[in-house]
Formats: sequence, C-alpha cells, structure tokens
Amino acid sequence: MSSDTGATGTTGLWASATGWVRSTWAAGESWMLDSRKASYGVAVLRIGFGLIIAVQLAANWGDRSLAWGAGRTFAQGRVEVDEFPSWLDTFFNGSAPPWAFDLQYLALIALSVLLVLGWRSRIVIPVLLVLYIALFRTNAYIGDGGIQLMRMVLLYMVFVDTSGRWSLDARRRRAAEAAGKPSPSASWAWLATLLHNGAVVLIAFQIFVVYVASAMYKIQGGMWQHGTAIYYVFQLDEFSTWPALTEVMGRSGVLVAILSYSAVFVQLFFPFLLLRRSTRILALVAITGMHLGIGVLMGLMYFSMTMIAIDAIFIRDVTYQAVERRLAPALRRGWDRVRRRPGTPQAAPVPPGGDSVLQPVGAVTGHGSASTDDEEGSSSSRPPTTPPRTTMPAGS
Amino acid sequence: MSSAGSRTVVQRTALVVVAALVAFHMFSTFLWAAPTSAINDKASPVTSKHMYPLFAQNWQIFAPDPQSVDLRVWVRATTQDAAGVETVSEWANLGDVFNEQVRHQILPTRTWRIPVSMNRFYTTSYSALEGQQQAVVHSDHVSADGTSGRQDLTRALLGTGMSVSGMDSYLLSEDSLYEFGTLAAMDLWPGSELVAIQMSTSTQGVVPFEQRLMPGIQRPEEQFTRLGWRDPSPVTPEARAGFSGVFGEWVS
Repeated sequence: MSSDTGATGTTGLWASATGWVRSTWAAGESWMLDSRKASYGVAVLRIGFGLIIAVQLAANWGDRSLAWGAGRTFAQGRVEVDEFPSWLDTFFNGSAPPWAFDLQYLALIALSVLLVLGWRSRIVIPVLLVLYIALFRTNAYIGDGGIQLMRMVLLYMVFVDTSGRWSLDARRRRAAEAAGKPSPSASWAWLATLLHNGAVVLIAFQIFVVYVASAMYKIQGGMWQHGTAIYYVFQLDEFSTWPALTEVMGRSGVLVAILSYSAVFVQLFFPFLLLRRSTRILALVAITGMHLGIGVLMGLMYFSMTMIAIDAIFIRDVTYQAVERRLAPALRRGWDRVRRRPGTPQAAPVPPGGDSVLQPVGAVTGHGSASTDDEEGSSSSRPPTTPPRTTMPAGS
Repeated sequence: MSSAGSRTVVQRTALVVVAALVAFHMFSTFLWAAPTSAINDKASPVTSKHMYPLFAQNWQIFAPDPQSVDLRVWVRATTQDAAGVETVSEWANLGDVFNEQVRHQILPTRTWRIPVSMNRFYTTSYSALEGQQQAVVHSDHVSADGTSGRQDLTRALLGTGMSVSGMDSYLLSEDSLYEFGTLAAMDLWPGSELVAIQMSTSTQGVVPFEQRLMPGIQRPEEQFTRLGWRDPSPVTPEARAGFSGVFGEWVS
C-alpha cells in the first residue's frame, strides 16, 4: 500500500486505492462464491443439533403431557397472546387427543434422527424447524436461551449445505456422481454456495453476539468484578442439580474467583481469540470446558450442548479431515465387523483430502470463522484446488 | 470453478443482495442485543419488526449480577371430605417437587424450570399493580357456587380505576398461577373436593459470599407475597389427566 511521492503522488495514491478496493472485492467474491465454508463444521452442527433434540425429547418423554401436552393448560393463556403465527396451533394442539400429540412428538424425534443421519437435509430442516417452534411455543414457562438460540440457528441452517459431509445425502451424491448421473441443479451450485456462506456468517455472528453481549452485561456487575458471582449461582435451588458438589466448590473463594473471571473473559474475547490458530485452540477448549461445567453442575445441559455444537463451526475443515483420516480405518473395520463381511479389505480407503474433488466446489480451504480471507486478495489468484493448508494464512 | 473475471451479472447481483441482507440482519441483531441508544431509537421501528418474534433473544444471563434469591411458588387448599368437613391444608412448595425430579441428573427434564419461571412471570405483572390493586389481589375472592369468585375479582380490580387491558394483562398471569396451583392441589390432596385455592410466591436470599464460612450462619428470612383465596380454576378432564399423569406420580 505504498504511494509515490512528488507530482504523481495523487495519481499513485488513487491507483493503489482502487487497486486495493478491486482486490478486496475479488477476495470477498471468492470467499462467498468459490467454496462452501466450514463444510465439516456445519455437518458437526447438524449432527449435534439432531442429537440434542432427540435426547432431550427422549429425556422428557415421561413429562411430555405436563410440559407440552394436554396438561399444559396453565400455560395456554400465554400462547394465545404470543406473536407467532396462529397456524402453528395446528401442531401440538392442546385439545388434540393424547395419541395425536404423541404421534407428533415421535415425528419430531424421528426428524431429529434424520437430521443426525443427514438424510434429505434440505427438506428435513425446514419441517423440523416448524415442529420445533410449534412445540416449544406451547409452554413459555419452559424456555431458555438455548431454545431461542437453536431456533435461530436452525433457521439459518435452512440455507446451509449441512449434509455435504458425513451424511447419507453426501453418500447418495457420491454414488450418483460415480454412476455418471449429473446433478439436475449443478448449474445453480454457485447460488447454493453463496447462500451457504451467507448463513455461515450469520451463525458465527449470532454466537459472537451471545458471548460478547453476555460478557459486557456481566462486567457491569459487582459480583463479577469481585469474582464472587459463581458462588451465588451455585446457591440457588434452580441450579442445584448437584448441591453437595457446588456447596464444596463454593467454599473456596479462589476457585470461585477463577471460575467467575474466566467465564467473563473467555466470552468477551472469544471472537478475537479465534483469529489465530494458537489462541483459537485455547478459546475453543476453554469455552467448551465452561459449557460442560455449566451443563453438568447447573442442569443446563441442552443449552450448553447447543452452544458447543455451534462452536464446532470454528474448527477448520483440515482439522476434521485429519481426524477423519485417523478414525476412518478403525470405523470402517468396526462397520465391516458389524455387517459381518470381513472379506472386504479396504474397498474404498479415504484418500487424504481426496473426497473434496467430489464436491462441486473446493471446500477444503475454508475456515469457519467470519474473518475475511487474506486481505491482500491473493486467495483469488490461488486455484481453488489448493491442497489443505495446515496453518492459517498470514493475513488472518 | 469461476475465477474473478468470469462471474456473471446474475452472480454479482445475487452476491450484493445476499451481502446486504446478511449485513441488515447482523445490524438488527446487534441493536436487539445491545442496550438502548440513539441509533436504536432511530432504527428500531424497522429492525425490531424484523427481529420479533423469530429472532427475539436476551443475553443478559446472570448479569449484571446473578440473581441471589430463590424464587418459589406455594399452594394450599381448602378441601371438603365426604362428610362435608372443611380442612385447610399446609402450604406446599411446588418448586421443591419439581427440583427433586432433576437432582443428580445430567440430562434433566425441562419441566423443572416451570415454578421459577412462573414466579418471575407473575411477579412482573404483580409489580405493575398499584397499591390499591395489590390490596385487591391480596384479598379473598371466593363464591359459594365456586364459579363467580373471578367476576368478583374483576369487578374489584375495575373498581380501582384499572383499565380493562391492564386488568387482562394482570389476570393472564394470575389465572395461569391459580390454574397451576389447582392442578397441583388435586394431586397433593386427593380424595377430597377442592373448595378454594390460595397461592403465594416467595423469595429467599442466600448467605452472602463474605459470610459463607461463618459457623451456624443462616439464610435470610423468606419473604412471601401471599395472594387471596380463589375459587378453584375450571379444569377439563383431559387437562387433569395430562397434568396428573406426571405430577401425580411425583407426589404420590
């Protein structure tokens, strides 16, 4: 970004400014259009959300009629004044017979299992989203940030190619491609990529808002400033699923202060820690630990798992690919044993990074964070088939 | 694989549209999550409409300070046995019943938050009442036929000069609280007829951090907001079955 001095100074400055704008624009275009970002991360998000919904509905099976079924009439007044469209009343209607309610409840569990498997995700996600909203709006007393957050992220996921990896959809696409059948929507793949990347940016931004906003509200409070806040949380009936344990932890002022401070700082600095690989690992390990602690000790497991599943998009594709390479042979052996066909010796070993060629766009260079790619715009001149990088590019 | 030079007009236009939508949504989300500001005042007529209800969110979690009081919901009932003898029950802490279900659970049921949420929701509308209106809801509104007590309550509230919409918004939370209490009472004191229900909310502070290691330290006194007696809420057999199938199992 140097500029000439002397008579040609202004012209030179103008030229370099327009050059910079042009290369930045090209880099932005390339980021949005050339590959689907976080392709493995969104697959983990999909699998995680499916498991969270399925597990919590199964855990609530015994309580379903009080929580959302015919026994929820005490909460019905609030449904009638909420702002959701009234056609949602069609689902999980309070006056429907119990068998009809149970069928819909089981349908939602089935949809979440399909989400885990990645079967027709483009259709499953919107249908699941409608039923999910319909179920949880029926009882406003059972609500927490995790339910809202999952609702919003599921809505973004409608636009995301969540089943590009580790899914039945991906397997079907590979088989069709191997058979030489062209995809009918191939000419629109660029639009799917654009929407995918736009939605991935929104998911990342949404989680940044959660962390930074909650940290900024916290730093205004004296209990957080003095590192005593966690003690007070541990004392409440509401968050005492393990009262004996939290009682002991609350006795140590130092432990309480460390937990209180680290909760605030890891949330406040989360987006910035993601920018470099070394601090990103620290941020993801610390925040996952925080969520697991909150989930177990305070009975907020579904909220915590929702956050962890979303944070999975910040792990780069190359990392997931390395994990896949390491685990795939073992998984395949296990699968063969299950299917009792020990005679198939590595019929299709996963070539290192090789399955990326089966994608319409080279997704291997993507990183999940919303940070821009190389600011110098060099990425646009790099062919999209560049092999996976093992380190972050210098500009990010 | 298109390179920078080969993008079509359609692609570029779509990119600009998507980028604008993404930017607008990010801006709206930021304003929704942030405290009020001059920007918010100007933009919120548009951005709030976009955010509500699908993107409504609140990240003031345990902040600025975590809540340091337990919120509880209590119920007691006047019941009548077969011989026509009326009895007033002990107070029952509904929060305890729900909390007991999730003790030592990694994957708890979601129902356990109901009493605390109900306390919050009720307390918000109760706090919006003026002194005279609060006196009305603290007094009893029961009837001999067991159904006209609510009319008596609405007349008394309107008599304080309260608007109909203000009353409706208060009664939304009171009706919910008493219906919850009625359903619970049917399982807590089975085998006799419910004549009247009384609800109370309460708060109890915890031992302050500085005093937590003092031997024999006690929590502060529990503070009750005791409402008046009401007729039992009308409950359909289906609602009764749905509630009792779960709650009845817990308390039997």
